[in-house]
Amino acid sequence: MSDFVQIVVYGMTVGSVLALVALGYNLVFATSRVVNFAQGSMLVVGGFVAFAFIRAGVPLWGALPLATLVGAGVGVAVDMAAIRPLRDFDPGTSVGWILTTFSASLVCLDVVKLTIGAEPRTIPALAESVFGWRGSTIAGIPVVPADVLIVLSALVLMVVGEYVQRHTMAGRALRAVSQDRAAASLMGINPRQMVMASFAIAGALGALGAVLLAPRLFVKFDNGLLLGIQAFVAAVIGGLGSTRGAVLGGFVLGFVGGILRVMSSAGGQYEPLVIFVVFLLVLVVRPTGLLGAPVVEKA
Amino acid sequence: MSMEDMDTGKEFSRRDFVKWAGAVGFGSMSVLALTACGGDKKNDASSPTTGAEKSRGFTSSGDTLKVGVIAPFSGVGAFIGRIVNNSLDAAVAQINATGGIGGRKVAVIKRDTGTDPAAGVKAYQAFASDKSVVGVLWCGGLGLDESRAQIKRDNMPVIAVFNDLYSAGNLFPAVQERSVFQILMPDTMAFDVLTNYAKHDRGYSKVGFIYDSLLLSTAKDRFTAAANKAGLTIAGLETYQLNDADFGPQVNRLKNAKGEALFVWGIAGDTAGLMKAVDKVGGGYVDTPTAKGGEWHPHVLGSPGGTGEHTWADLAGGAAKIGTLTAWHVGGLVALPSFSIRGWMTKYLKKNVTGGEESPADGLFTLVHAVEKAGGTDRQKMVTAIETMGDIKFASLPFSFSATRHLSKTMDDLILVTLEKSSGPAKTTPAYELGTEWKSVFPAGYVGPTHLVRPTLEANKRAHPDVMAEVLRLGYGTQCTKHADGTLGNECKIH
Amino acid sequence: MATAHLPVVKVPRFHAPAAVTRFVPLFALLAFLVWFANVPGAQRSWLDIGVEATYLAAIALGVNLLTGYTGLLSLGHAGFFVAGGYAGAVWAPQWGLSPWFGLPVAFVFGAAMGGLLALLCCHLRGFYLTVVTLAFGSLLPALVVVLKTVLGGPTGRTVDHPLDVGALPFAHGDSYRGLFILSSVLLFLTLGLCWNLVRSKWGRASMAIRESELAAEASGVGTYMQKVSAFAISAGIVAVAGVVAAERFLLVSPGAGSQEQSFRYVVVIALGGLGTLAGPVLGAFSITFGFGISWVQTHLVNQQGLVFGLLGLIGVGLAPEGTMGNIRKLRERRAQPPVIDEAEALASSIAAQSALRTMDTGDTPALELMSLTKRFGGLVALDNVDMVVAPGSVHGLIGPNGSGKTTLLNLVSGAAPASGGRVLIGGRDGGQASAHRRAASGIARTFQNLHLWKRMTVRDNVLVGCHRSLRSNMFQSALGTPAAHRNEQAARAKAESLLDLVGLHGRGDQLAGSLPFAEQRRLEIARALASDPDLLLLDEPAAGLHPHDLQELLALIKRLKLTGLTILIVEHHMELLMKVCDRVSVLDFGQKIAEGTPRSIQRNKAVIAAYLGTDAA
Repeated sequence: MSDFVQIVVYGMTVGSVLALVALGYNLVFATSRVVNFAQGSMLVVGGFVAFAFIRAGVPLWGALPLATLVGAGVGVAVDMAAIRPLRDFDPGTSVGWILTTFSASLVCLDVVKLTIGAEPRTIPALAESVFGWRGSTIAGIPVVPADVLIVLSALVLMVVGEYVQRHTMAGRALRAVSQDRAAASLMGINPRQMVMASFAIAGALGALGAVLLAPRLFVKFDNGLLLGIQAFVAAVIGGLGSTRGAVLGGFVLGFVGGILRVMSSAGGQYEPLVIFVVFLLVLVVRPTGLLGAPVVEKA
Repeated sequence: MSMEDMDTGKEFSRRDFVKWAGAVGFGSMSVLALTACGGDKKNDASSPTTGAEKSRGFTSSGDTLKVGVIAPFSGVGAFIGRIVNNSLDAAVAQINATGGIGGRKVAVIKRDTGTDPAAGVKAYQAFASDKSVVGVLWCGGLGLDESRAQIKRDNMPVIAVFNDLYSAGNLFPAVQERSVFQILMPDTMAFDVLTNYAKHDRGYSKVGFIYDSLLLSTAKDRFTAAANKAGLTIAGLETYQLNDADFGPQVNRLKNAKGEALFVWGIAGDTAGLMKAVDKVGGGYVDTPTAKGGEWHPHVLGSPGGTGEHTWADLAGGAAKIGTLTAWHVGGLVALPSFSIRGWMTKYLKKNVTGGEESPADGLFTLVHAVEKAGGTDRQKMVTAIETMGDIKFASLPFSFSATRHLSKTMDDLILVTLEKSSGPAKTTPAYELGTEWKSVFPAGYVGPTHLVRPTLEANKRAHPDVMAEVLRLGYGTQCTKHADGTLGNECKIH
Repeated sequence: MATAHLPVVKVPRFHAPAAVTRFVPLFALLAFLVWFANVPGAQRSWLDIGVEATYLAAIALGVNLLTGYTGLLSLGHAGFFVAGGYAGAVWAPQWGLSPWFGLPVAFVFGAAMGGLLALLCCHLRGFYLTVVTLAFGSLLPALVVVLKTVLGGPTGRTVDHPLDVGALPFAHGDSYRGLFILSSVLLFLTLGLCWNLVRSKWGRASMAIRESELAAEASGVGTYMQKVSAFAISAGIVAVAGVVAAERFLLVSPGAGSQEQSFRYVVVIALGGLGTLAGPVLGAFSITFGFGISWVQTHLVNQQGLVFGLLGLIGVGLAPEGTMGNIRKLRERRAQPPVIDEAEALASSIAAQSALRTMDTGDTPALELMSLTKRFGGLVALDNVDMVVAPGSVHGLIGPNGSGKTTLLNLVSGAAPASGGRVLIGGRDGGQASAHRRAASGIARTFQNLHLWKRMTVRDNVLVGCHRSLRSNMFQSALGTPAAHRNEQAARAKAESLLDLVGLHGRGDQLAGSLPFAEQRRLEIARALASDPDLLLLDEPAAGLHPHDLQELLALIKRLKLTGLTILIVEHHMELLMKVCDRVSVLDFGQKIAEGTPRSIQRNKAVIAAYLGTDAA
């Protein structure tokens, strides 16, 4: 029983951590069919910016929106520097944008290092207690408000994302752009603006995610590359472009990690191998991920 | 003054960390092996605080004495690069401001290893082929093991800093490469001191262990050996991976195994996450009486690269429990007024020490001093000079090498460092009188390690009488009752 | 050995120097390397940088085969670099082989690993493949911990039986010089291999995939295996470089296998120029030597990420095709179109085409559809369509938008599988064969939206069409055997002839993308003809053409009919259909509603209703 609860708690929290990051990949992919390899760096940038505000004396609840704004600005900057100049570069392959977003991520990290610093930092938890509840244990496994907050945030963002995409004008425009850019622009939607908006939101999500995750993972450079790649794998397993997929993918990885760690004290060592196999299996069976829509290529 | 500027004694038994970090290729870009020339910081202030004896003037003056420096200036090990930069820039400025070595200016040529051991090997090859390089200061050690055959062939004087060849059995006389010397407290000694303390001073019988299996995979064998030697039973042997987001399963098992102490071997960020996980299950350390009770409140004994860095306490907040111990060496007490390092750091660099700065500077001085003593740059003569030069004193405490000991530290140099906070000391029974360190040395709000002179106080006194006299006079780091006549109370034995 | 690969067509006078100048960079490189090895007072560290530059150049060339030519981006190739080091420098000598055997062993091992990974992931499109390679790259750290005994843990394994590079000619016993010589020789071998490959059938097939996988498949390229082979060769080359690196450090270090290293390879190529031969070498040399400059060393030690990131952004953003791409563009701007005698060329090419087909218009239909059906989910795109196309005829297919015309073409050409019914080609059942197999059975097509390979030359576009008829395999091409030469020459002659036929005489060296629209259309037809089809499918060839160009198209279709070719043409342009078609079939909502001569169709009530229904109502 305790093992089972442990797996669930681990799977849910770590899964949500990954999902929070993975959602950022999705949004950009949905509009531009581009995977923003700078997403992991946006998490780092957002976290350090939030930290810098707090260090300057801004209270947490003020620093969060400010950092989110700066994050959105960084998203736009990445779009301008990495995506816009590409235009028609090598439309047949992905070489161009993988290179440029990866490059942008390196630039982002070094700029943070030179301006704010490279030492790991922390940001206070948004809420230590919820309605007086400060945590409990289930079958000996502790659960605290910060964990619940992460899981809830991932789920809420997923639901909001789904709702916006399906039921709002902006969401419909977004989907139109993702399905047929040319047709969307004929309908008066500016695909460039949609792409830029998605980058801005992804940057803002990076900052938001960084603040949410800070009590658990702190604000540090390792979160960019290590967490970035894991979350990306989660997004692909779930199906890039699918909001629910991002959360599902995160949970798949979370539960795999949880099961391995509960099984054996050395279980974590085998995690990368197991995940690679899961990843390959998913891609062989469903190349567009578990919940991804199949891509139809027009002749 | 911000936290990172604090004078916190710092030790770097991090050879594995850097090495393994590099080997797995994590961290930021390690794409190019860049080289940096050491900035000769302009400063005409003279009068060194200590060391750097005036030149005895041998003839071949004029050109510069170059020392090659290999260190990670980028990637996960970049924090070591920053310390190396600080330390060497200040040391070079001081040596040159006081006339150089034998009339020759000293310069360092820095090369970055990033996270790639091959870059270290490459950097060494470049230095080895440059006749004007008199020796190599190898910080962090990426590529050093791999270059051993070449070093032996070249007979190149190499000072390994922040690199634990000794524990790995790769230091002369265990191996043939006679020209390599180490300035670092070995990992095995750290484990020995901590396990001995746990067993004999605290009377624990069962201890748990958790380590980063990606970066520090050698830790397990060393811990097991030390625990067995000390007669401790191992209650839980757990691993985690770098940057893990949750430690629940491992901590749960450790809790069920009920070790009285928990050894934590990982880098600062992960250590902080781990301590939060321990705190979450109600396992926060509450000192002696409860640590032995039915509940699980393990006394945390951490690695120099983890709990030895103040970062972990900043990150972990309330989960960083006062009383957490880390193995240290006396020379790491850089905050002591009697050490030169504070002086020259502020004087030549306008910076405060961040910890660890004494080691690269001591290494550099050892090399250039050997040139002076050998009367030239003949490598064989330099090696002999280092082996026979007796006590060397530059940035920190005196240290020495010999023909049979290429290691600058001995067990007598080791102390334990405990975490204290400005909120006050750990409450113990019986109560003890607070040392004065956070009143006189550290500003309000300080969080970080201070110093506890245990468990080898007598040996420390023998090895470093002046320093220890000063430590005791200040009441610095001694967490025990100090009687009016200056003697220490009995509880000092257990805390 | 590469001289024989020059085109055998009559080379116009002003192109003659180009034949010589294309070798100038090669000689320059050779001269540079020889000079480098003999620089007075050359130090070990100096030679050491040279070793790195040369093997990085070889790596870049190898990765370029995959990324620049085939258009697949791998971020896991550094893994093959490490694998090659293990196999060639550590394991091979352990197995009792001479250390020199390590080089081929590494190539085979790397290629096998690369091929295996590719077999698993080459069905994936675009960046999904990159994702797998990225995940593959992150396996190494885990493997190193788990397989500690074999891989030596994160610190890697030392090379205990190094190559005796000092014994190489001109090395004078100096192992550093020897390693530089070895590395340079390997660079030249790699350059030769790549030179041969990219100028062969293999290279064109790869480029065709890069530009449009769909069109490549339709032209008879087996895209899956082509991608796998590109993966394997590039992995093999990188693995050999891994042996040189292992010999350099006398150590195989898994740290060199990180994704950042793989990323570095691609940046090197992108800076020099993707899809060129000189580019990767230029990129590798300038980066390796450039970062040796003391100013860079002094000032940028803490900003490596910034520098490399900016280089990546600038490299791709400002000069999307790299340095070499820009140089090529400049050269093209200066070149002038040749003067030609079109009439003579045209006559001979019609004769050549006619000779391909017996004018025997027997009873066997060129194409017969029996109850052909295609469903997309609940939607029926084609509903039990029967149709017969007589050999040697021009058959029109019309219908309103969405009536299923393109679907029908896709089913016939094998681009999509049918849900029901049969397709008989020349009386044989086409089964469920894929597009490139259909191409082999005598069907060729053009596309509604042009699917030309715009960044390949006009001639290469047509040559890919010859893919099937070229007998030489990858290995013959790579080695440049006489048989491969003969094949290649024949194919080039044929390509010129086809270009004459469609009125693109002398345009062979231009990039397809630089042609005017109408000429691109005709080029697509020439490409389709290159596979010697019996049946040609034209998907709206008149779309977007000016009246003048339309006349040329009309003339071309008539010429093609003269050669005995059967043509199925989907078109809206009634005038064109009336003038060229023998019969016309009409589709509406997936059903065939009429068939007959053009004239009878024009009067057919059902057809008029289908076309004008909404307007009439």
